Amino acid sequence: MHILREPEPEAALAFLQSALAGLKEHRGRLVQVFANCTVDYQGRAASTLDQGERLIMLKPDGTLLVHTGEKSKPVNWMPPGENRFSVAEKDGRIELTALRRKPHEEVVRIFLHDVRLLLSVPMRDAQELVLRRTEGDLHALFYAHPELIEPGLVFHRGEKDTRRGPVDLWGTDKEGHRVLVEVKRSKGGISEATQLWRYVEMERNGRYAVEGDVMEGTANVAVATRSGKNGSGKTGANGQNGKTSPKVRGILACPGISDKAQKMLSDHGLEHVAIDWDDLLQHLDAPRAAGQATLGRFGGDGLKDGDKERTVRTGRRRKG
Amino acid sequence: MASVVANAALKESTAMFRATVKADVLKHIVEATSTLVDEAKIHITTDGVSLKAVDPAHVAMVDLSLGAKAFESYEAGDLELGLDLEKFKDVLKLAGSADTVKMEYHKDSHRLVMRMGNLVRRVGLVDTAGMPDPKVPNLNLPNKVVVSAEELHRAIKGSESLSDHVTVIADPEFFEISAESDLDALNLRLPKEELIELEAAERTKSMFSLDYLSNMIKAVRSGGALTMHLGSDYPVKMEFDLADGNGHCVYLLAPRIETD
Repeated sequence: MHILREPEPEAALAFLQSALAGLKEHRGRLVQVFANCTVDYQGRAASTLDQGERLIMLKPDGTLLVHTGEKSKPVNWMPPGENRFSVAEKDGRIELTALRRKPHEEVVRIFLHDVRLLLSVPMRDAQELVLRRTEGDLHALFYAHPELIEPGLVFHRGEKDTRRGPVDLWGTDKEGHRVLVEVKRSKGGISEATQLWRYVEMERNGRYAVEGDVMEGTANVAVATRSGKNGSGKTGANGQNGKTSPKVRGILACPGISDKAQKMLSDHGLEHVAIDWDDLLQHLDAPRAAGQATLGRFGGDGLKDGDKERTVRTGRRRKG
Repeated sequence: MASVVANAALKESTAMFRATVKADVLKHIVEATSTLVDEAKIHITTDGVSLKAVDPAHVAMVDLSLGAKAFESYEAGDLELGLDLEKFKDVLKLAGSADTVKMEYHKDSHRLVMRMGNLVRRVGLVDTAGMPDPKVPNLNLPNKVVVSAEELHRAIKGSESLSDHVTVIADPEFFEISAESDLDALNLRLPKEELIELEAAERTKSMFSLDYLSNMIKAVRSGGALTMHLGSDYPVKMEFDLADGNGHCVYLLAPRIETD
């Protein structure tokens, strides 16, 4: 690791020249500059940023970030890729340039007036962010535990393509009625209600033979609560025209719902199931049935047993 | 202070590496290692070269060694080289399997110079400073199975369309690999007499991720044999020879464990 504090301009220039050469030859170095600087950008748009103190970061993958002391996002940046960095002395100041050729030529020019800190350090990180609590996780949870939506409900395998797009989950309720479920991880609005209606309308007008086999839910938990005018949830819908079948139900499963969306659901004989994140989280964050252990657990290199936060997750690979 | 200087001088003078080897041997090593890591630190001594690497998820490890005898010529002192395996793989594509590759470490440019016929390829090396030296766990694995690579290849290939993991059983009478999906199932059961060797005092069972296992087993060349050391819900240790017995590769793979 190389660090220079309050360097003279000559030392700062030499440091940056060597750091940029290193950036080009060996991957895996992070370069940081804290300096009073001005920043010019020319590309699809153009910007200027007058003198001020900024943190400039060159990541090992070629990303450039210029951060001010405010907000989470950089004021100027270049995405990762084959960006060319160069540094030179110009009119007594150090000019740091980042050039990107594709898809458009773009240049970020940074004039360093007063360099306070320089840092160059090897940076290795092979881990990728593991995202939990996604909509996909919710589908998998409801598929395995349909009783979270409604007791007696059974989901069928695979995606149901309604010819207006695939519905998240489809199954059969206790009475033998076809049920289409659309799952949203945030509050449902008119567009989600419309989406569900498109699927249900198609299904009510089409045939609805049950294909595929049936997978029963096992656990004995019910955390979803029913809301809306279709309280019993078993009456089905009275269609808006003669062709519709009362046997196809549509459920929008989401944490909350807007008044307009609720009205739209009611008008079309659709239902809303409120999902309670706090209750679902304990299911979603539970370890997988067959968790991948690490060698650390057996005394080898790596993660220690019980380090659940970092336990490697191996989700089921989707086939076909 | 004086001794530090002397040691440094000694290290300087022995930091050399010059060797000739069949391209196929290098290809095999890179293939066996690059399934787990992108970069590796190669230890070079007068006796040969070796490397140890653990994959980024800390699920699997490779411990590979190649004796000086595996090379057609070999001259080396103590040295550590950082290799970008993806790049090295591309370089080796320039050579046919039967070709020989001459390698020489150039300290001043910090490059490995590789000669394949009249072609010279200078390969920039990676800084080894941040690369870990993995600690190999001391495992007590009761059962040992030696099985032909072909049988395994078939079972693994078949399992991949069903599931993302397989169950591996070692029994006093047989060895079995099985996989199942909600609808389908596959199993390969080899009775003791169809195995090259089976030493199992008790029945053991572990599950392994196919993402890992498949690539590891692919590294055993056809016609070769793989030795597996197994326990219950315990890592598997797999060993096979390289370079006509002048090299050896050991893999460790942590199991998947049912928590329900």
